[in-house]
Amino acid sequence: MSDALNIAPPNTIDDAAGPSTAPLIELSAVSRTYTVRKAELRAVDRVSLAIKPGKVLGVVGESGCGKTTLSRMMLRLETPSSGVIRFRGTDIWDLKKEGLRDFHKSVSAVFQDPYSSLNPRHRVEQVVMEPVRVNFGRKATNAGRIGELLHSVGLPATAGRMYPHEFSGGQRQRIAIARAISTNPELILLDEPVSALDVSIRAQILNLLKDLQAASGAAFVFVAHDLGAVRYMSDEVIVMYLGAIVERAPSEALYVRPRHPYTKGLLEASLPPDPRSPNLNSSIEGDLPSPINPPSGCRFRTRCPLAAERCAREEPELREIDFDHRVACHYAG
Amino acid sequence: MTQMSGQPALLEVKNLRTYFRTRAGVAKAVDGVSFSLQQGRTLGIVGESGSGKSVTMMSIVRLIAKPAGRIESGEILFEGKDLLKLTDEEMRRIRGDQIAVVTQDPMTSLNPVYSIGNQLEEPLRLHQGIKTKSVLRDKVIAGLRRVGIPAPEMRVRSYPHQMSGGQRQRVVTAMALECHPSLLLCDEPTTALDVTVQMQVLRLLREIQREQRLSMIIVSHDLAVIARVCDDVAVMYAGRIVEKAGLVSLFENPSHPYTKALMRSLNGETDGKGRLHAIEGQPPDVRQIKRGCPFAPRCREAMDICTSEFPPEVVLSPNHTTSCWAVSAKIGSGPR
Repeated sequence: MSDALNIAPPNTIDDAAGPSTAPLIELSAVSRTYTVRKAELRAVDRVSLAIKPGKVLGVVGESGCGKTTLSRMMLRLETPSSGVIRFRGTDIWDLKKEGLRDFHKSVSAVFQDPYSSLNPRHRVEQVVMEPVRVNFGRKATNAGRIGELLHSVGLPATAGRMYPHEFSGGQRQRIAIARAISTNPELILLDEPVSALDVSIRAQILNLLKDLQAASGAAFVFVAHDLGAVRYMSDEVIVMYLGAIVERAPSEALYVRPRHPYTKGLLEASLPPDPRSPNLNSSIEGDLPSPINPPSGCRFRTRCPLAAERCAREEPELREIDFDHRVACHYAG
Repeated sequence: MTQMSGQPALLEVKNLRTYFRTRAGVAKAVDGVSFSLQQGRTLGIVGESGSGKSVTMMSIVRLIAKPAGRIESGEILFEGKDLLKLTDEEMRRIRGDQIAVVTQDPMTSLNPVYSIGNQLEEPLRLHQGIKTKSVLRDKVIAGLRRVGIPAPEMRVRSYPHQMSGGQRQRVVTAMALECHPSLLLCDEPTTALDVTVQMQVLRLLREIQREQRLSMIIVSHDLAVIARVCDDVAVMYAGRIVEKAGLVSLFENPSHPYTKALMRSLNGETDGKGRLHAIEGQPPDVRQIKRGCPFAPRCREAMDICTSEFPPEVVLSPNHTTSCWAVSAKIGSGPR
């Protein structure tokens, strides 16, 4: 397997867009700390990454790993405590007037809970058209555009006159998606877009997202704890644990040959079970340590099957272990 | 096999109907559900939100919100006696003692202003009449130790918010097990937990079940959870059980089109074009169930009869039944 990866042509992320393409959004050593009862909680710890136009980055991790804080920072809803986020080369916190308006047109979001993310007192057409009205003025919100957007997410044009409560969870998420694509953004952040939905509905929404991504050419950041959904959607995946990236790889490489023990454990737990011999053994034991006082050295060492004495002393750097495959572990091979 | 000859079932639910009256009409949340559970076995009930799986479970302990909700008809035979005929007081004595419930969200099912030690003493005081402080404390500590809480002597003084989600789930499980129930009902026991912690809690449930020969019902939307701990599975859709089978039989020969679709999504299967297999359409609104099979509008194998009459149960093997016209048509025309 590793040989196959080594001799493989340049990784698809760079390949399709061309290695020279400038990143759409780039994070350099971005951290976010919160003060909790005078203690410091580092929700995101020195994260660096870049997304090229039209690519899909999956962000995977358990609750408290910092994936939501990370996506909120990319949306400019949260200020980094340190580090820089550049959108088309400009620090998003240096943007003024025109530049800021352009940023808001170009970046949108779909949130987890389609019940709380849609204004219950607005008709669907208002909900969907709000970003268009704000960014392009009322004249741009014509009925033709509304019908077109609703159609592209698989809703009838008549849905525009209805209110969110008249729809099921899956249909509401379609409304939220229509809103997110209404300004033809270049980057869409999707924070757990299917985890609140029923199993039979998830596949519909994932298929819709994949189609829209291919058709629009927008870059996606797909945040989820469900590894299956991330694999289906993403070109590249980062795995986060207690605020930091522990592994980063092209999607297939990560699933075929995960290197970090945490990624391995996550994958094991998400494999479809064999009813003849249900396996309940996980290589990851114990609970997530407190992010306020994370373990010294490697933050995963308290739950790691490979942990040795060195792991308590030295924090592993994210190192390239295979082409475009990076892992933060002293012993991963 | 499920049916051990001669031995009466610990729990037998017959034709249960639980309806809720809402402004938008009567919601037939559970509409004619029957199943039985033998001593020492674990039944999984799988279904989506609104399928009636939780209402079925809560009907067994008669915790249905009044006055909107009502158990309209049916029998729930527990050790031979019909729970629906008991007075509220008689039911209260069984609930938490012989039949215990592990609820879904350990954040909201524990009281935030009492220490967990204090909360764990309550069932012992109420059901076993233990009053001595030191005896209560010892029993609570032993209970916490059994579910794998580290340093239980210290933890009894903790409050729910000081514990992680996985630990709170263990505390709720310890509380349910305190009075040595013969039947344990678990409503989405791992849904609120992270994947790596889910495995630990499922392993705990299976160990306890085996050690004590406990009978369990586990309700979940996730077939992967069911597959890891259950012996038998009932698949619910829109208030009805559409397929019932032993675990292996269900996984190897799913026969109802809805079960088959669930299996495909569990395995993340894609079609020839690399797209995920999806069930088109929406689950029905249980306030507006039409005649016939509730899955018919989304079913690829639907025939005319499916929209007019609910299919009768077909027996595929002694341990495998389903309610589907397409399946009965296939069997009817086959060599058997």
